[in-house]
Formats: sequence, C-alpha cells, structure tokens
Amino acid sequence: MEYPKPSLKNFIENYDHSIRNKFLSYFEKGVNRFIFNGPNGSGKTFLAKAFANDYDFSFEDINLYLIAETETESVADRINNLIERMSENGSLFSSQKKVIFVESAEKALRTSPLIFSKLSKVKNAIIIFESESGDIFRSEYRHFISDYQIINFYRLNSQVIEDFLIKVCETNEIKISKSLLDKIAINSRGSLSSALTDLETYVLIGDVEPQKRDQEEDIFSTLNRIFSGEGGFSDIFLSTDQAAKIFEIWISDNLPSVFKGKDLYSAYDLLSYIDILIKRIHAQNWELLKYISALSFGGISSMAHGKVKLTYRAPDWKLYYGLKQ
Amino acid sequence: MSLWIEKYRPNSFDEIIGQKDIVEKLKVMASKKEVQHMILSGPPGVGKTTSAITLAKAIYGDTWNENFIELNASDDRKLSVIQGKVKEFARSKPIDAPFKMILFDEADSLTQEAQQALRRMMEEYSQTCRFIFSVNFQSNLIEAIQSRCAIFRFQPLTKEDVYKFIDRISKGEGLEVTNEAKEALYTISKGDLRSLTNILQSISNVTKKIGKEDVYKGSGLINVQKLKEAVKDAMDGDYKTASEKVESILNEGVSIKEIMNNLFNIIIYDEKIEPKIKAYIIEKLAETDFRLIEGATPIIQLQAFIAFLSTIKK
Repeated sequence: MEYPKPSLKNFIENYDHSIRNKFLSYFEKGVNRFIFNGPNGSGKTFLAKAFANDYDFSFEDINLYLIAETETESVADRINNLIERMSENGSLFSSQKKVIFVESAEKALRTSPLIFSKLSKVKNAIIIFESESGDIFRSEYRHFISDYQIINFYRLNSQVIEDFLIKVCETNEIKISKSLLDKIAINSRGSLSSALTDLETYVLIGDVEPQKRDQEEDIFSTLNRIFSGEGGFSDIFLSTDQAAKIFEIWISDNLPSVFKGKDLYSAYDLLSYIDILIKRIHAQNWELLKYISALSFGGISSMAHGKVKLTYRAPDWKLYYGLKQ
Repeated sequence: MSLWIEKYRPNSFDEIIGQKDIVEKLKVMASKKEVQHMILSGPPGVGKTTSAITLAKAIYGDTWNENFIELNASDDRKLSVIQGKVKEFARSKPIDAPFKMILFDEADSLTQEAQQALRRMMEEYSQTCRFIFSVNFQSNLIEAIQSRCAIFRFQPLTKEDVYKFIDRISKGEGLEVTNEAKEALYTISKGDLRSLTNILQSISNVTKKIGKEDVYKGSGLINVQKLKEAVKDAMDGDYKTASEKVESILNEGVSIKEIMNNLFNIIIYDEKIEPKIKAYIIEKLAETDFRLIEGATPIIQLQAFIAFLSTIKK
C-alpha cells in the first residue's frame, strides 16, 4: 500500500494545525532542540520527516535501543562517539542542515542524561528527541532537558483517522464499506498505525475484525471502573512490577477524592499491603504479581459504593519517586 | 522413543484442531505468499506455535528451516541477543522467498527494552522479515508493537476438540481411554494440548488402558476437584475434613506451587464469594505464598490458611 508522503501538508492532527504551527513558530524563533512527546501513532516521526522534507534538510534517525555495547565500549560511550562523529561530519563535509531524530528520550535519560547536552554541540542540526511516556517530566531529569522545547502530541480523534483512511483507500483503489471503515477508525482508539495495520489486514485477507489494542491511557477508564465497583479480580494482569507500581500510585493519588471515612481507611490499608507485595517482587518473586493484580482491581473495587465518573488528576510523581529515604 | 508432542504436531492447516476462523485467514496469507507482522494471543497449547510453523511450511516448502526461526523462552532474550542474533537474521536476505519469518514464542517474557529494540527493527527490516509474537496476554506487549501487528485471538479448545485429539493419539498409539479419563484429561490440561500430550505419553509408559485414576496419578498434577471440595468444606466451617483433603493432595506428591496456583484460581473464579471477603482471602493467600517463598513449611502454612478460611462466614 502507498501512504501519503511525509510533508507538512499531509500531517494530520485534531485541531487546525495547532501542533504543526506551535513547532514551526518555535523553530522560526531560533529554537532547534525539541522533545516530541505523545502516544504511539500520534504523528511524531511523521512531523519530523515532513519538516525535513519541506525545508530540504537531511534526515537522520538514531535508535538508541539498537546501539549495543561492545567488549571495549559501553552503550553510553558508543552513543557519545556517534554524536561526536556526527558533529564533525556536519561541519566538514556539508553545509546542509540536518534533522536528527533520536528515539527515544527515555532511553537516553536512562543511559546517560548527558547525551542531551553533548548533542547540543552538533552544528547545523535540529535535534528532536522522541518520547512516549511521562518519564521526561520527572524532577530529577528536569535540568538535563531544560534547553529542549517540549511539543505535545495527542491521540487522534476517530474522524481525523477515518478521513486519512479514506484518502489512503482512494490512492490505492481499495473498496471497503463505510461501516467497516468506521469500525476500524473507532477501534484504533486514536492510533493511526493501529488503523493502518487493520486496513492492511483487510487488503490482504479480504476481511478484518478491527482490533482494540491495549493502551496506557486506559488508566482513566480503568480507574473509573474500579472506583465504581466494576473491577473484577481476574480482569487485568499487570505484567511487571513497574506497571504495578505506577498503577498503585494512580490509585493512591485519587483515592481520597472518591472514598470517605472507613472505606478510605480500608482501601488504604489494602493499598499499603499491595505496596509491600510490590517491594517483595524485587527479589524476583514474580508469582506475587497475580495477587497484586487481583487486589488492585477487584480488591479496591469491592469497597466502592456505586457509579462514579471523575476527572482524575495525574499524580504528583515527585512525591512517590523523588524523595530520598 | 520419539516425543509425541512432535509426532502429533499438525503438518498442514487441515490437521489443526479448532481455530477455524484463524486457520482460514492463514490459508489466504499462505496462498498469496504475503504475511503481516502478527500477534497470536491465547492460552497455552491451543495451536499458536503450530499455526505459525504450519504457515511457514506452507509458504516456504522445503526451505522453511532456512527462512524461519523460532525463539522460545529458554533462549536468551536479553536486549543484547535481540541486537545481535535477531538483527542478523532479520536484515539478511531471504532464500528463494519474498521475506523471512521470526517467531517469538512465549513473548510475554520479553523485557521492555527488548520490545523497544524489536519495534524499531520491525520498521527497519519490514522488507526482509516478518515478526510473529505468540503470547498468552496481548497486554504484555508494548502498544507500539501491538499497533504494528495484525492480532489473532486463539480461543480455548472445546471439550469436543480435546476429545477428538485424544482419539487421534489413542488410535495412533493403541490406547484405550475411558470417558471418565477423557474428562479428567480435559480438566487437568485445561484444553492445553501440549500438556495433554505429554501427560498421555507418560501414562502410556505404565498402562495402555487408561482410567480416571491413572490420569491423576500419572500426571503428577493436582486433583482440582478435590481441592475445590476442600475449599468449600473449609468455608462451611469444617476445618477437619478440609485439612484432611489438603493433606492427601500433598501426599500425592503435588508441588506446593501447583497447589497455591490452583487455590488462587479457585478463589478468584468463585462467584459465590462476596467481593470484599474475596479481597480479604486473597490478601491472606498472598501472604501465605510469600511465606512459602521465604522457605516456610508447606503443611503448616496450608493448615493455617485452611483454618483461616474456616472462620469466614459465607
């Protein structure tokens, strides 16, 4: 299948070019260090490529996850050497500006946060880090990325996705019913890559059952389910201790706005037990994850008193992670 | 002696038991020689790996071994392996075929970092290689991988399917399996044909005429029904009967881990227990499990848990 070429004109978003214009206006003001933050399939890579194409800059893509350590060099060293080579190349051989797209900011922060400042030495380059999680907002990282302008990307609404799919169908002469397209667009839950994968399945097999894929933002609907007493004991399986920890924090931060009095106490009592279970996993006791899953969903849910629909606030992560013991 | 699990692994789509819808779709892919990245999700032993291998055989014919590799959980799958071995395979040209295929069996255990690396490779080498992930829970894969894969959900096998498979093996190996034994095989294997095949093979070393008792004894697995009764007795306040049943299960040589896993499932899925009480019980069970991990004595921990259960009024 052929897809629309990356160009600023083809970049799609929910509101009238707001992301595109925000990015361009910073660039016009002379900013050339960016972090594109947003969920999978929201257009981060596309916008970076489109920008490079339209401004006639060269485009370089670095995947930090694909850089392996060798016998003589650590991952951090290899990345630093790579950056140094790039800065030399830029000044010696070409005057053409380039866009360097680095995946991902999280990996850079974990490997060596100094990568951010070292990269600034690369001449003639617009540097964009890609980021899919909230890690970059953690306080201990703040000063490493303070030179970088953060551009936020969002899940696309289903109409925007459907319009894009229709365009793709026209270009490739794909015949598909409106109702099936609707379903693909809705079930993609705002991720264009999910929608395109399902469309490809349709083209290949002649039929598709549009899939709902799991997403992190489902935290909000999950919280609503739990606090409304609709969470089951076997509904969801938290697959890592980190996932369990993050989930625990979300519950903890929002509990007081839902539960009162004795219920609040029982729920916190249970949560504090969940907390120690998560700690115990650190010694590789993965068996315990199933109890944590059951208790955080079904357990907390059993203390609810009926339907709630709240707008939850994001936790103050610093409070949970930032304080040294 | 050959392993039955390989001997009775289907070689063609028509031999695959159950999963009719998925098999039809895979057939279309095979006939067009076109495959997407895929996630095959579902419980163990329902045909995920078999379907992937069958697809590879259908597409590549004799060269399937050169264009298809399978990495399972026993292989090292640290980030460094993904960056080395997997990358090497994915980037090199396929042999007499449009693309290669790589199957990550039990991909649930891939680390986050490994998944991030894989997701980049799926894009970079999409011309030369297709990635297939076999998982129990789709949610164990990161969203970026999910969004790039067509997803096929394998259904648990029905009783009829399982019986059909037992008959296939009985016929091939000259076994006599009673209906009660079939029922027991279905219960303890939970529709997992892989474990069922292994159990049958180990029982057949002892006897060719297989009854219900042979199944429980030969499998080294737990008599779930008995454990369920024990839980019920305990919750009716009858500590004595309940603990006798649990003791006899321990005496059958069942591992404590197996017992704990089953206790967890029995309680989780018991619709009759009120949610608040259920949470309370699971909390106690988690604590018991933790103490066992720390090396506490199984029988004391189990008795304590049963005693606790028997204090709960339904």
